[in-house]
Amino acid sequence: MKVKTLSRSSDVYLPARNCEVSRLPRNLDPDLHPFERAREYTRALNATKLERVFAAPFVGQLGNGHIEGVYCIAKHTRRLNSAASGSGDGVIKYWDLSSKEEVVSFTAHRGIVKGLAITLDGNLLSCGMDNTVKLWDVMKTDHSGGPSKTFLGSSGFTGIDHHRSNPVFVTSSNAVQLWDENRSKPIADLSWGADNVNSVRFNQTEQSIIASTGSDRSIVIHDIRSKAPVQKLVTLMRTNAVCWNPIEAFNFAAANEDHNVYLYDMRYLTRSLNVYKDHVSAVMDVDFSPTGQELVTGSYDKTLRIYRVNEGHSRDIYHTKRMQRIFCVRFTMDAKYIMSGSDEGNIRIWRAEAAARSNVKSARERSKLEYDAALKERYKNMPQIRRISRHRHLPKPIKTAGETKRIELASIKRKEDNMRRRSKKGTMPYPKEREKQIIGVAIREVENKG
Amino acid sequence: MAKVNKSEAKRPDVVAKKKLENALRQLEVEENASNSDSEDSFLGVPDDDVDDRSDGKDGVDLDIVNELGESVSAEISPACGDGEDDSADAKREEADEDETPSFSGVSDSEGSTHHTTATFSDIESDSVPSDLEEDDDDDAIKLLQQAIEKASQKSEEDVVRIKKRKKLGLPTHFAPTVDDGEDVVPVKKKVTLDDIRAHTSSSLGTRSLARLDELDKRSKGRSEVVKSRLGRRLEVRVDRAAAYEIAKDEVGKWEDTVKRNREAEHLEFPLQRSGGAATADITGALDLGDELDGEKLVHELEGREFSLAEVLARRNELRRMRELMFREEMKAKRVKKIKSKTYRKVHKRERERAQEIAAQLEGESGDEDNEDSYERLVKRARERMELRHKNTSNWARDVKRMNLHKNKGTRDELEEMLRRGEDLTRKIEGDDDEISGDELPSINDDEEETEEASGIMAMKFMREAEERLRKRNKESIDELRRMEDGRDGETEEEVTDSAVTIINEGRRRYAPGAQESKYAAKESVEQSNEADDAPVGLERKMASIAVNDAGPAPTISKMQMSKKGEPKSSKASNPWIQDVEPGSVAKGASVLSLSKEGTRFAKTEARLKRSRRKARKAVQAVGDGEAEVRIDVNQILQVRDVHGDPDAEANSVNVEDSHVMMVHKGGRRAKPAEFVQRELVKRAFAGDDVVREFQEEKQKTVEDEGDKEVDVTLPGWGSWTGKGVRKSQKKFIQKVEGINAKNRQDSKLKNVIINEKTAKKSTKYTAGAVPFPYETREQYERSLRMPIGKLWSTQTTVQRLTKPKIIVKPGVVVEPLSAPFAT
Repeated sequence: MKVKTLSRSSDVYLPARNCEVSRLPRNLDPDLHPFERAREYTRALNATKLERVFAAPFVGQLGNGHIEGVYCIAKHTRRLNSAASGSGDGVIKYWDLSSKEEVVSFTAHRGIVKGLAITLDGNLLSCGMDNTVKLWDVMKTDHSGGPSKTFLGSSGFTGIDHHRSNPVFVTSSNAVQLWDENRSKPIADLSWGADNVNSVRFNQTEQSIIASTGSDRSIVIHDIRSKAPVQKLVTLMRTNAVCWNPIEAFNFAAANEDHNVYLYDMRYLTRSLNVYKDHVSAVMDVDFSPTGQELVTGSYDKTLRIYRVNEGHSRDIYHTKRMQRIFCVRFTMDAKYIMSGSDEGNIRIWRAEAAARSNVKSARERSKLEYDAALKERYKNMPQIRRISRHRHLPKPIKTAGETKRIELASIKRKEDNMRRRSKKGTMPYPKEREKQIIGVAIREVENKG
Repeated sequence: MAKVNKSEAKRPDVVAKKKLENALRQLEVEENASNSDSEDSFLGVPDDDVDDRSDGKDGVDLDIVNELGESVSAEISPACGDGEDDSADAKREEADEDETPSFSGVSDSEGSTHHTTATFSDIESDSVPSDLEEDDDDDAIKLLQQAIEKASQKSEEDVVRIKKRKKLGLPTHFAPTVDDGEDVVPVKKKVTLDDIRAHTSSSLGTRSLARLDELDKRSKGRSEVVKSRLGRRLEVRVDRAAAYEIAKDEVGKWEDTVKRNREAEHLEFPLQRSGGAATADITGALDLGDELDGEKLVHELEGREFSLAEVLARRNELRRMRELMFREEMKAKRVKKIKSKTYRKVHKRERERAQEIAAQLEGESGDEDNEDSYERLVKRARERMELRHKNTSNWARDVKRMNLHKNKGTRDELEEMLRRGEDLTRKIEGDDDEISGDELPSINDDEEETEEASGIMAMKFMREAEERLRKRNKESIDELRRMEDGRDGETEEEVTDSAVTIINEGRRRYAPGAQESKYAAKESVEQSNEADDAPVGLERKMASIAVNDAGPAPTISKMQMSKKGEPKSSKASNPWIQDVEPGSVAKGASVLSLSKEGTRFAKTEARLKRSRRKARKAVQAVGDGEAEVRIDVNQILQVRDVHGDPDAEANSVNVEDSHVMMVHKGGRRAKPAEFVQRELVKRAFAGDDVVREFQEEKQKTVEDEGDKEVDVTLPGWGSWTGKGVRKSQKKFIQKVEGINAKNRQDSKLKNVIINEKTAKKSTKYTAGAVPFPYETREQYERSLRMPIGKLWSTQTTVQRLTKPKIIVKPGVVVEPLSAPFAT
């Protein structure tokens, strides 16, 4: 008779290679692992705390920045490490993001550079208040000879954007004009009413659609196929910038003077899809993450905030002591970093996730981080964890401004409530938060359609 | 420009022109009135207008189609001048929009020029030379005169021309537009430009005429159809609405994609492969394929017209097919290189299974399939038989490999196994082989030897000896055969008696009788051994064979047939019914008879047989050969007689069933029981005022949990002491806030006390409210129930649970989605 002896080969438990982590046999009996909820809660709490500990959003600034304020940034849409910035003194700088050094710098305009765009072949289009749009070959180091092409307009340009796949660009000035790169005159005028158009942005997905914002508090949707404006929305206050969602063709975010950002569906403009609150001053610029899941806003209150698309309040707020009013923000094309240009002339680079690091991680570390993220997500509604994850130190002016704003809003609300109480029932309906800011649209949708 | 317009409008020549025009119109309308069939020309105008608009829309559509095809650049490239013109026009239109048309019919804006000029060109046609200039008045006058002469002839031509225009559905006359807003005055006769020329002699008149001509000339290049328009503003609005609808529809095409992305559990960015660089590499290797492809495409395209989208779709399809084929090829190449036996085996099995399934799915007629599968089963069984007891099993291989067969125990086991394997193989092959193969080696052997006799074996005496041996063997074999066939006298009946067995060709037999006979045979052999004390070789062998094999089936059937002419039909056909007498054990008589010298055992056996036969005869006499089913008379299911004697019933009903009985027999007996119950309860709880007690308790809890005032005065603290000092009456009272009685959850519930105390420690671990995506507390709780960590679930589960929703490939440009979206 054979007796089976207990024997264990070292192959079972010793790692085959030096670098491998030794496998620990584990018993799956649930009785041996009690208090799972409590333990996981504690882990989630610790992960949250660690996240706050490791949160270091500021990566650095590009070179020595500009002498004047930075009022526009253009990211290269097909390369990760290139961006251009334009400043108030007419200087344009082209940056290498990985080394944070400037590649080339030249004076492009008399007066402020208001807009930058990168063409299909990697050249740079700039527009300024000196009534010109200029095309620059950024590969050249010497720009003393001037731009490779100049387009003349009738008034100062305020914004520019390039078509994603055709050599066509659109500018905003006192009109919205469509240009062909190969022609010196605009090929179409798409304007609708506004005396002055602030900004203009191409839809990257449905490529023939443009949104522009006017100083008459309007947002206009244009279509370059019909070469005409198609819809106009008028809001209570002016919109400073728009940005289209890169994976949802019909949605765009509009940064408004009323401290909020609104998310609209271009098909149904009578109400906004979401309102992003929290800023305490006008929002100057907005940009979607390339994943379409988040958006970043730069504000006149000297902070930038990051919002999740389907939440109403910011996930994070970035600020530094020296950063002045922010005029432009952009996500990088890998959705990992954010660039911001502000009044004091610096271009700063921030992490999109403050506690994330982009180094190469071992599988074990990665799985640990994923596990932590899952736990944080699961227990995010627990009071302790919520408090810790939301806690931020704010500059005093912003904190006080926020508190003041809250008080003001409450008082307005109270006043309205009082009026409502004293007026005839039904005469003062509660205004919907998502429709409040809308005055009207030019083309009403037919009710029974769709 | 608008200002310029106005100034122009005030100029005298324009005024004159207006007057002329009015006059003309009057004349025209008069003529219309006279011509009954020309009336519908008025109706023609609005129709035309509508057509015009729809044309405009078509234009937009076409534009969009172009756009969808890749050629945007081509589309957005009118001449620069045009672009300028357009913008200028747009500006002018804007200006127009702003001012209300104070003057009708004649204005510089394009729309109205169209009306007038077109009409004049109509009227004028080819008769008037166009090079009429203001400076050479004389020539002009001459021409006018000629024209007047012609005028009379012209009137007839005009009628013909008007009819033609009507056929084409074009307006024959100038018609007032909505813009003009002027009333139509009926006019008797149609007047041509020439008529007017005839009547104008002043320089002013000629100048205005010249201007009219100029206008005419300018409009010649343009469409000659009269355009009637809605208000400029209205028109633009309609256009925008239409364009907006189209844009909305276009954008709406993304809705499914967006929905899918939103609902996706995980999104890996970039969602689309960018540029198709990878595919380019692959397809680049197949240049030939590309060419073929192109040729095919061209051939197909020659046949019929394709839209661009169709062609693209087709090309993509082909491209994909090619790539799939290529991948398949690569895979095949890779697989071909694999040398692993196990891999092959596993895959072969898989393939077979797949084939089987496919065959099943095909649903062919059952016969072939069944046959097939049967064959396969047989084959498999055979294989199993062969393999199991050979030294190909894992264990055996291990034994060999590790030299364990030096160990005696293991070796014995191995040998045992092999032996069994041989046995089994023999059994599968059949009886003849068996006998010749193992038990009687001599037979086979000597046959072989005869063939190759040489040396000493070739000598005579050896041969004779061999011959003798062979003869003897033959005899013994014959004898054996005879025995087997059952031709051996006595055995016949005993065999038939022993058990009616239906035996298959193989080793299996289903009748229990067979089993018994086996035992019996063994027993008998042993007994005979005991008795004789000397083994009889052949018999013993036979017995042992019988024991092993339990007798081959065909012999038995033969026996039956040979003995009695008719087979024992009923019994034989039904193997389950047996004639087993109580207390008797069936014996394997066939073997028994082998021992010819009657042993004790045999004798008793014979006796038993005889008696059994008698019994059977008796049974046959009673029944008619039917199956004998034995029924035990004693084992009866005892059923209680319901209507039987009362004693039994009384016994059957026990105490526990009493209430059931009561219910059955009516309420007469139930009432007292209830009554008793209630009485009992009353008596048991006599003197308890439960309600009052409860109320008191509730009152107490309300007070306990409500606001409280606690006196925290410390005697002597903060007061003076000594003689003549008044004791201060000041009390320190602290208010402890509790729950107001009104706000209690049970304030309106009379019979309930709800505990309002909260465990402070647990608040830390509870969410204040049900968080957003969840609707009920239970849902939320459920979402927290199952732990995520590695300790509590398998690795795959952990990976699934912790996989982030958004994954961005590091170091890659995440491009926006582009139109043909496929993940």
